[in-house]
Amino acid sequence: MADQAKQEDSRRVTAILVTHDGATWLPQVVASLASQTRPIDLTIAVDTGSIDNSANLLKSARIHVVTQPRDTGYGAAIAVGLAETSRYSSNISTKDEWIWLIHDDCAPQAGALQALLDALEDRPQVVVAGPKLLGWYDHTHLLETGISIASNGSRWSGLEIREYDQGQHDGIKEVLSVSTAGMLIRRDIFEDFGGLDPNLALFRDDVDFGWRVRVAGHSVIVVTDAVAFHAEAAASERRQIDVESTFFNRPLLLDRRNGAYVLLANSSWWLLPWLAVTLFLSAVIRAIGYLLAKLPGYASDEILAIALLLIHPSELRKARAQRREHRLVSSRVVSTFIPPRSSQFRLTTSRAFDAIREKIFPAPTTNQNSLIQESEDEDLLTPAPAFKWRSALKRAEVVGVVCVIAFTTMWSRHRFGNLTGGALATSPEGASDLWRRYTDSWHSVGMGSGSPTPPWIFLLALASTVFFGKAALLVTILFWAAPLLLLWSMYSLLRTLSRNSWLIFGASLAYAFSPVAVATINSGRLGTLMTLLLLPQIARYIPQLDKIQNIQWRFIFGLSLLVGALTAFSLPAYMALAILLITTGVKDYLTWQKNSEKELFIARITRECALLFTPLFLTLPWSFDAFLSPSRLLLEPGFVVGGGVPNLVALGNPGGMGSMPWWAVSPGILILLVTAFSSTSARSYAHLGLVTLACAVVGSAFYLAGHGSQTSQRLWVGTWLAFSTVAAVCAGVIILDGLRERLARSHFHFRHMLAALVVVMTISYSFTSVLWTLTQGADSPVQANQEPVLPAFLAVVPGVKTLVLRSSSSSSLSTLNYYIVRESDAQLGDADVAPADSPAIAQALSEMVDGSGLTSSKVLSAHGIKYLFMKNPVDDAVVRSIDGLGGFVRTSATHAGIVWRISGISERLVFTNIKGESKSLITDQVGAHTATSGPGVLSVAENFDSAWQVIQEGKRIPLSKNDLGLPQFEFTQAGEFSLIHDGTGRRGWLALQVIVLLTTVVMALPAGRRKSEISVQELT
Amino acid sequence: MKNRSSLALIVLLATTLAFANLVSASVNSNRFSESFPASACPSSSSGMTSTVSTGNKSTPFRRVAGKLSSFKPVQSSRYAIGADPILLDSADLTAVVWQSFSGVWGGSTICVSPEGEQWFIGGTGDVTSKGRLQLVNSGLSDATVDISVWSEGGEQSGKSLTIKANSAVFVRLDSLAPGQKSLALKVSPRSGRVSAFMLDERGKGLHSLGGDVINPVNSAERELVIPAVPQQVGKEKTPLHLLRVLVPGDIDANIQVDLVSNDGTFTPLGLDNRLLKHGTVNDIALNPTVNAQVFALHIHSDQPIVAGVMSSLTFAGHREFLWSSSAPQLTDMSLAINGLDPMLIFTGDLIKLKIETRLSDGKTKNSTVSGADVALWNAPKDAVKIRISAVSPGIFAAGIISSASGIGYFPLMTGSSLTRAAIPISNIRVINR
Repeated sequence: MADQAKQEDSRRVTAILVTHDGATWLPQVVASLASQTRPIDLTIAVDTGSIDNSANLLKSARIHVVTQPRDTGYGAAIAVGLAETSRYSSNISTKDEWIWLIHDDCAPQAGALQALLDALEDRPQVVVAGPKLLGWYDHTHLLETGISIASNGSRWSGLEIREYDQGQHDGIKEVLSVSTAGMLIRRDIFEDFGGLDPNLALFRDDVDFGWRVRVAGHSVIVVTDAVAFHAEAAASERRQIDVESTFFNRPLLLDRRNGAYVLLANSSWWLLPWLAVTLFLSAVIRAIGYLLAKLPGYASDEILAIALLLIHPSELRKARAQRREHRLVSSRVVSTFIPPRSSQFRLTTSRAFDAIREKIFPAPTTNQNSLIQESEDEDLLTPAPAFKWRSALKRAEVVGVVCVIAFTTMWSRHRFGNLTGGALATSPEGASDLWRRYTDSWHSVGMGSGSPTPPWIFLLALASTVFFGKAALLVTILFWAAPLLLLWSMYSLLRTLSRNSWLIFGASLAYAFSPVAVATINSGRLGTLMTLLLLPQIARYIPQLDKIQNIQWRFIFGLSLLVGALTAFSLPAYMALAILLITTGVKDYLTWQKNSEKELFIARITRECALLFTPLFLTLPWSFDAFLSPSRLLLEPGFVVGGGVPNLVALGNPGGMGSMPWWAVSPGILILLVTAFSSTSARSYAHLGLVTLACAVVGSAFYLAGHGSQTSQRLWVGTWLAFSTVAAVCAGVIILDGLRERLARSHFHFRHMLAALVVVMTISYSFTSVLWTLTQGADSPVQANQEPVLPAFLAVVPGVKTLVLRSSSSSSLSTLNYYIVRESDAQLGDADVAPADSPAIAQALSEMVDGSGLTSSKVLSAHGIKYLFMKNPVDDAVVRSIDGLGGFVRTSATHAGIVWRISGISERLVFTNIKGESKSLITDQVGAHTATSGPGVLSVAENFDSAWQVIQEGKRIPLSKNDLGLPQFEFTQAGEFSLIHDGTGRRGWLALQVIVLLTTVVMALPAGRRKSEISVQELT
Repeated sequence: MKNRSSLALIVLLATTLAFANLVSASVNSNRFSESFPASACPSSSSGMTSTVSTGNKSTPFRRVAGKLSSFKPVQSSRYAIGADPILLDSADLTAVVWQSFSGVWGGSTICVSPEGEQWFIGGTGDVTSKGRLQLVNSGLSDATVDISVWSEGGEQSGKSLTIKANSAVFVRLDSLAPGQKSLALKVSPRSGRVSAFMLDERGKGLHSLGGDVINPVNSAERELVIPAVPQQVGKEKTPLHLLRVLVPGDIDANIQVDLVSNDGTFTPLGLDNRLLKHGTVNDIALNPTVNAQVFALHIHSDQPIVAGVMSSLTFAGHREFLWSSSAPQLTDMSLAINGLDPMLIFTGDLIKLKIETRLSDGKTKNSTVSGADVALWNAPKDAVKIRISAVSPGIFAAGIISSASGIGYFPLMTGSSLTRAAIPISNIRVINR
């Protein structure tokens, strides 16, 4: 039958099989060629210096073998093979002669050639055809149904990773090109084009050839009825690559270089700049990706590939000239085969999601050793289990989450909008403001500050960027969803302790609405909130510290990142963890002294040091700065707002504004006391809880000033109570798990009474806390859309400084506070970088208030303060004092307060000439570029900092301090000058921080595998 | 044994709690500045003399409209004030000012530091009125003052004035309420250090009907005491007293007036539970038959009120009148009285206090005043200043000064109170909502 078909078919097919160390696959390849239903007319093998048994195998199969040097490229090998066919030439027209390119790792199915030829029968325009390529080992793994090239140079098959072949891509389709593994080419065309490009010794020669064929007006098709199984041995690094143009046997480098070459050699000239940029950027991005996957070799391949191409531009020029000769149609004809960016993005995203999904929800592993093999048919016949909504409503998690959402929404009814109040400042308009705040070396807060911005601003900016740049939206959602997030965080911890979902959900609920959580949310304390959120995640691993020497470094760095994030938000939390780590380290040292196990000690101590110091390096230079002012180690982000008295703290309630009243006593302390005597692991948790509770009690006895405030406030110990609360919840779950059964089995004794007491306290707390939270608790200090402190008319002119005076009275004490504001109320991060009190301003205000400050207005105007605003309710005596002094001119008195304009030149930059005449100069927010009219002194109304620089005609003007301690520069001549705040130091720190962060992230990420490390079965 | 660590931790917790309670004390980082603001004394005008008893030659002063903003010693214990009001830095010593139109009328008041608001109950805007309100801005910035006026016809359209820094202005009463017979004024500074003084001078053609300085009251109260209303006992004509009351709120007030004198305490006819219309000035004739030289009025009201009494007198052959205003409860205070020889009148259920008198020769004289209802104390002739101390609660007092020109009244109250202002402390929270 086959012979009969052949007699009817006048076409001649010559198979050229190129081998290079392919003995592994060759027997099957040769067999497949021999078993073609449409016999091959001539088979020529070209062996490129195989050092295995390839040549012998071919000879034994009676295939004519031509041997070539080991560095012969694929195209060159084909050319040799073609030349060799001349020895077997016949009179057949070259139009009827076809070349079938076969790799030594590609085995066509028996009917492949026949199918290819059949498809060509009535398609005279087609000069190249190729089969559907399936995996060598997994015959359902679809490798290719035609190929193309993406605009970033990647090989594009349009298929998903490990796509299962179900015939979904079957048919005869026009494609840009097909793989050279199984490519059937009309010989005359092949020769006319000069064969495969010799510059593409390996990889991408197929795409290039297909592109050239296309622009010459021919067609390329894939015929999926023709199937070949391909091992992709070279691409998957199964064998060494020795072609001339490769370096250090690096297939990826060659692939990327060739990909870029194909794009740049074949594309329209006007696309070249865009392509060059795209290629470079995508190479950089991929290189970063490989670095993150700890594959520096691949990363360097990406960059080197572009570099290699750029250092040989003549190759590209020559290639483009050659292609022009054969081009009959525009290069744009291939545009339909180039995948659009949307497809690339969709596929990349889909692959990323699949990877994440597989990580989170790994596919159930089938028991390969099972004796009972499930029949596929039986599987199809088995009805899929129906999802019952009613059963979902019986699950604690579902019911609880719905209730929590409803409860939280009612509780947060005054917190939908831009939140502010308590310890929380107003959120800036967008994420860009947060980024700027983080990167700036000088902050226009008060009289200006060069303090390093806390790293929590960086994290907030990052998260805000994800929230479409809406920082306020992020903060609102964070505070609204805080109970839910706390619930999830604690639930994930408790799942490791118990399987009783009702118990762990109830305990998580108690945690989410614990006194410390409620006070934290109500008073807007971001630091404690993040501590409450992250602590359960960190606590999951604290028990593992006992075996820290067995923990992988990747895990250590992952945990360091988590602790680093916590440190960024709360130094007190870091201090607590540091104490724990240092205690463990000391114990390890003592153990080493006893048993002399040096290796064990080193393994433990290095990991402990990594956990201890990495978070500090991640938060440089802020953490370093905090260690220089140790009181900051006890403070949290935002405004310093006082906490509660020690007795309240001992009950687990941090006190302060927004906290629950004393009568809402949580059962936490009782649980800690009871479980301290437990014989279970709850005891350890209880001990930890009691120690941290004791620390909280001691801390609450002290007062501290800071973060832009000279007013001492009782220390907020919410962070320490968060530790204690986590410990109490864990201990409670451990003892309550199965307690009912145990109590039922035993006679009545004190355990029954204690259990009853815990239950009664829990019910009492639940009732009182719900009642309070929904009523009084909803009127929390943190509220949305509150009226700004600064009247709108004072916020209009940018950069204008206004001194805000505000009196308040509490417990018969009347206080008067002040601060300098520029344009708007305090924003997130302002308090953390707020400068120290200026003695000159403090003195001027003191004299202003007591009525003796005849020079107060001069001092204030010298500091660039233009307005004095006393917010209502005003102190009449103070108002009379101010009115009685010269230099304060009332401009308004409204319901908001009284505004005085301060006489004199109240500008940021004031130039005083040698005659003593002063005038203001135009300035930007930080720097300035303006001119002086002659010699004189330039005063800058900002705090003194050695980074202030004035450069005139390329020379730096000496910086000094004036009488008020403000920076000034003495000019000796007229001319333009630039005022800058030199941010080199800040940029240096940021660079270091980024390096530390990236290094830690890379160390924490799972390592990628080189293709050579992936099993062949997995690849194909 | 195995629970030893747990017990130790619980003991640790209890110890820390005890420790925390021991060391935990309210920390107040606030600092305060305490001072007596300088008090302003009214100026004289054409034909008038105005003298202030300073009590001390070294008392610092400055003229309000002077070029110098610094103070210098007054160099006299009795200083004649010219056309410019003066600012006296006499600390806790209250200076008494005597103003007179030689042989026509006399009146007295005290120098006062700037107040939030001042009420003046008295004066007229009719054709006899020559009265005026003096507004003194002793501050170095311009001041804005609102003047609210009430009369028998209800509340009048007020006036707002801007007073330049370090200056004083006069406002004629008949310009505030033209044709209105009975006035009550409220001076409310919107800004500035403003002290106000009011002079009620009346005449008919060239014939003087007398005059007096009306002393200010700081606020409307439900319980008022006018400590001294003088009586001219033994004269042919029964003296005429006019009680003027204003209910500034929105609700009519029920008042009861108790007349307290050494003759006893009673409620004059028609003044028991008398309903007074709000928003209008009520003049109530008061002609008690009392033999005492002076009596006091205790007024109880269910709404805040302000009140004063005008007493018509014949003095040295000419007609004179005197306005008695309500006084705050007496506290320890010092008073500069040299050259004035005032009579002090104390009223209260139980009066007990000490007066230390500094004489011009430098000697000190101590006396105790005690009694019930009303007690009188006459200052020695050569008294320079007095110090009132050990005052029993519930006492109200005023002084009456007589001279050849006329008679004056002043309430016993401190002209300058100790002001305690918190020194501002830097706190960035003030710029958070």
